[in-house]
Amino acid sequence: MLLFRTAAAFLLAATVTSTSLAQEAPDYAGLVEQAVAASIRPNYAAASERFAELERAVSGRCDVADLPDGPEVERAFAGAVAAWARVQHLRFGPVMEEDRYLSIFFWPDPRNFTGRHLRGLEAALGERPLNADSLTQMSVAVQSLPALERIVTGAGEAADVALPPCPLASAIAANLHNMMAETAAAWAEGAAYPQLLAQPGPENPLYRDHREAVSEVFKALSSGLQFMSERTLLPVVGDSVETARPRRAAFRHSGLTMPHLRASFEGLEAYYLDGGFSTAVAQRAPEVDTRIRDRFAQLGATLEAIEGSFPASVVDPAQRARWQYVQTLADRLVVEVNGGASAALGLSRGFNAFDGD
Amino acid sequence: MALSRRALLSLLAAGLVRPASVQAGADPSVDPSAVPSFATTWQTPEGRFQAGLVSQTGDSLQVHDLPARGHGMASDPTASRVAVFARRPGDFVVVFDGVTGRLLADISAAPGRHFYGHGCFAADGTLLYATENDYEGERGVIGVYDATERFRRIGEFSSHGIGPHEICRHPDGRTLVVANGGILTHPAAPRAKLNLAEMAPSVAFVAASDGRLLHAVAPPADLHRLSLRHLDVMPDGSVVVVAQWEGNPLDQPPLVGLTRLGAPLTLVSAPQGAQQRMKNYCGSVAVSADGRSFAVTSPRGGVATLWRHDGRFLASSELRDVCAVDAMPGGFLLTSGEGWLARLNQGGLQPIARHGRRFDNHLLRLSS
Repeated sequence: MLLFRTAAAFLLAATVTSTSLAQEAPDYAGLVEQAVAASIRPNYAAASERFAELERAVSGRCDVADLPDGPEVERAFAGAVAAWARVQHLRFGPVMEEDRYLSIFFWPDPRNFTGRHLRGLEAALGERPLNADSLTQMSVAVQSLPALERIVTGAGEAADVALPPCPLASAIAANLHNMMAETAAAWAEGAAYPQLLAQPGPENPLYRDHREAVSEVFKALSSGLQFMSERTLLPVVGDSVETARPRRAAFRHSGLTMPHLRASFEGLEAYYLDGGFSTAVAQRAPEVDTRIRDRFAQLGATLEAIEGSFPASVVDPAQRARWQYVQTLADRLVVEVNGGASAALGLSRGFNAFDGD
Repeated sequence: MALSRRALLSLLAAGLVRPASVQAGADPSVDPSAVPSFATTWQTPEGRFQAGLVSQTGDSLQVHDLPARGHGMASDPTASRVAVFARRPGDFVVVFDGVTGRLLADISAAPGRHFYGHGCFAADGTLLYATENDYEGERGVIGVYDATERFRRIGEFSSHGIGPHEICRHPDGRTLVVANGGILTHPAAPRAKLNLAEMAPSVAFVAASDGRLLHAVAPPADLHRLSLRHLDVMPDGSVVVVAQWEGNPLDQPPLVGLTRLGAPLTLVSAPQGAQQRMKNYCGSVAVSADGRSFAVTSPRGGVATLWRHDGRFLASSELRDVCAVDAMPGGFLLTSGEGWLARLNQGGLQPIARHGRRFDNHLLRLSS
């Protein structure tokens, strides 16, 4: 009898939950469509163009010089890094296939695999020619933007790399462009993956319903923020001058750490706004949406206010308060997005499902 | 080490051990020794992480505050001591008395090591083994702790792989079985494709006395992204291991493997529909008390599957965010992140009770 009563309560609870969700659920299908059409697809397309420009700039320079350096290459590299920052939070779908994500952005790298594997690349290639194709068979660390950064800036261990810098930079840049172009193509209208997101169902191998598809897309926002907070800011900026580790920063050799950081947060903010999440959250919990938008704005303004180079600013006692505030805002954004915003969208993720082990 | 002191202080400040009767939801009429009890971890509605003992209806028999999220549990053969391991990459293990709830030890990770979330006691209860990461040496180790002397760390040996996760003792009493996930989980060093040889997941059978490798099995080369994370051992020494697929999400590789000392690894799949529902992700596995079946949970798919001991698929049942599982009289006890406790057997899944807490990944049955 007791079992019967609890079973009845279980069914009742399940019914109540699904009914209330059905009544109030946002337009999940529309949300997925907007995130893809207004944010993911155009940002990948733009990144693919910037990566193509980078490949052209490197090969153009190498036509007339022995080193892949100079202002055009620098500009193109900065453009590629900024474009990557706008899609860096998207850790699902085509970019996760064939190790593309890590092959594009192998970071953090506290054990310096990038330098070590660049030094060992000639031996690893053996008889194979040095080109974009053969690079795909090598360590992800030598394929990525940080590897190219070392070669085009001549920084770090670049001097110890036995391979000639121009052919190496050309191969890396061409492979990076290939990977980004493949990713962008896999998100194009009519391509397989966006269709899987848009048409969930019992036969769909990835998404059973629109809620699951939205969860995937929305999760990129919270995990992207978490990556910024826990992996990007904390280990590098630290919680004091003494614990700051500016040498661990991404793109420090090219001096692009700060632009990359700003662009990464701008990318997350744009994803929240353009992707349709802001509007959907505002409809059900306007105060949550306001807080998220305000915090993104404060975060951007605070980063703008930080003066001087990145490595100098994190150990400058006069600027620690700003860095502290940036970290606090990033942490609060994680909490708001995981908490209030998820709940507003009816997406509160499973304790075990989202973050299992 | 600062963190571990903080961990200890937090445990002390929180009054680590509280009488069950003051806990919300506790039933003072429940005699812990008279009902099946399970060690598990959870998050409170207020967001605090706790470990403790619960009855099969989820009533609290013991509650302990944890400094951070817990993961696996281990008990000695008499269930008088229960160890709770920090979730990876964690830096604490707490051991409490299974009867009185008294804190027996607060173990901090050794320098250069972090815990991976699981461990087990030696067959005679004198040693505690924990899966750990030597993150400088990039290798998995099994830390050895003297359970007769305040859980002092007395040594370690290789896990014979990368990313060791769950470890169980073999019924022969001399062998440890460890699932090496194959993926280095140092949060700062994603390592896909950096070293294919090192990435190989495996199940290693290790001599409990000196860490010698007795036997190891691995998935075939084309399934080297099948991260073998959780396992359980049957009374006859057969091992069931369950996996998480880190490869192309459109692939549907088998997620359940069977092996034993000296035997190869046999991978099995559920029928198409159930296999798809598992979402390429298994969170936990447990063998029934009689060893004739085992249950596998897939939290991402919200499904628990039931299998015969030889790997034949029997049934699947749905429960959103299900993960923790262990044997109970008449089947298996399951818990979910949404606070449900349910019983699973051939007849399907029957809900037992719902609580406000979010039950975490694992469950350990302590008594009958």
